[in-house]
Amino acid sequence: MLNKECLFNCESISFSYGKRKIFSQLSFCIKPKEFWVISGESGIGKTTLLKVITGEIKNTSGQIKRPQYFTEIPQGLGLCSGLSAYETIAAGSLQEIPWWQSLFCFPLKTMNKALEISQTLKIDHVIHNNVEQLSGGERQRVVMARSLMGKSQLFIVDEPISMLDESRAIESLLLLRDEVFRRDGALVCVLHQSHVISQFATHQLIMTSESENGWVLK
Amino acid sequence: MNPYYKNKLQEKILPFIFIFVVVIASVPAFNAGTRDINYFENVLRLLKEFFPPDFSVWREVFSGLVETIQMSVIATLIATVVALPLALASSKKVSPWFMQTGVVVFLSIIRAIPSLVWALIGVSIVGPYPLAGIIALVFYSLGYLGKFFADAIDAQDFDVVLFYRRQGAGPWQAFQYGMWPSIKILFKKHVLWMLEYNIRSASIIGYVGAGGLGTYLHIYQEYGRWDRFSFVIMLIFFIAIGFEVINRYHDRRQL
Repeated sequence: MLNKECLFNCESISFSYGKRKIFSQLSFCIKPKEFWVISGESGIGKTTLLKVITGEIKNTSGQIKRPQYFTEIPQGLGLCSGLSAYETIAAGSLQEIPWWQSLFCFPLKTMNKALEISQTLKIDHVIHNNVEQLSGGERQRVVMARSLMGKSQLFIVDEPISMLDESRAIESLLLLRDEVFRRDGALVCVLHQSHVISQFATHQLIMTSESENGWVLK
Repeated sequence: MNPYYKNKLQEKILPFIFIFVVVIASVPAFNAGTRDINYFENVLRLLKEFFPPDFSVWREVFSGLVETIQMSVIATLIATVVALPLALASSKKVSPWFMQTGVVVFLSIIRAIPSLVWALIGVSIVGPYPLAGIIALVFYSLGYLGKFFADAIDAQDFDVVLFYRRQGAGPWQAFQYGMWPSIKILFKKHVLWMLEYNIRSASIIGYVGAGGLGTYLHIYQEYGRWDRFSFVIMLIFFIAIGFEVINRYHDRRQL
């Protein structure tokens, strides 16, 4: 049964690449103000699970209920070269703007909000640069800022802090979590750093080849 | 055989043998007939007639130049606007295979016909006016721009576009902010190249009555006024250099 209280809900989902089973019989429900962490060793299928959650790839079996709109921070960051960091951040609110309002430039309200978020994430000094001119850490924060522009409640995030130093990583993740929780949302996040996981996770899904179904819930 | 050497054989040695055979087979093209012609004398005679160029006809030649540029600008603009949807329709990543095949075949057919033949078709439809030239250049450019744009789109990563679509952006918005910024430089380059090509082309199609500088080239050639003919050629030469300078400047600004 798919639960109506959940922001995201899946029932007995499985996924395999040909004969190679990645996970099976996976069911969980993500409720508001929950921080789900997906962890596990490299190549075990964490990103694959995230792609199944976002619908980028289709599960082999089982049922999924996801909101119409959600916010994604993909591992590849989803950045378009040639676009400034400022406009990239503003593009996070595209779903709320009719196409003709963003045809030549973004509305002032959107740009002001983008500036405000970039100041909070301490990237306001680079917003006029093209995204390809930014460092790895700056790009990650631009993508995080873009994700905060929309109003969706479910955030699906793949290794958002892999290129940030420890203090900045915690600071950025705190900011993201607080903002998401403020709008009664929830996060699903692939993370590696165990001290970060213990600080943030309310639920932890460990992908492991030792379990028969490929996962363990903690 | 060791796969390393098998790859090298396929990638380097076989293509080299193929190109070598094709070049050898093409050598008989150096056929100048058996008549006894003094090439050197011919070059000298032609150069003598070319120089000094006769600048006295600058008024009519410049009016021809303006007409050439006008024809090229209008034709490039129309071709660009029409080529965009055609490029999307012929892109491997965007369109269903039947539409893609249809548009690709259509574009190759119009590309296969030289601009001079398009000009003849244009003249036979609308008469010997610049409009015939515009028609010729539009069709010719369409074949090229459609292909260039489609190649540029196919070379792109669609992940970012799909990402914005999943976030709830409209198709146009996803294209505008997920792909356009990374391909616009290439598009601009192709359009500028096409404009330059059209200006050079527009100088020739006047030979068959489609207006522009070619009209004067034709007249001066008919009357054997090679001094005036060389003036027109010089003008075309300067336009080509001008475009090269603009392109270089444009490239440098992008870096």
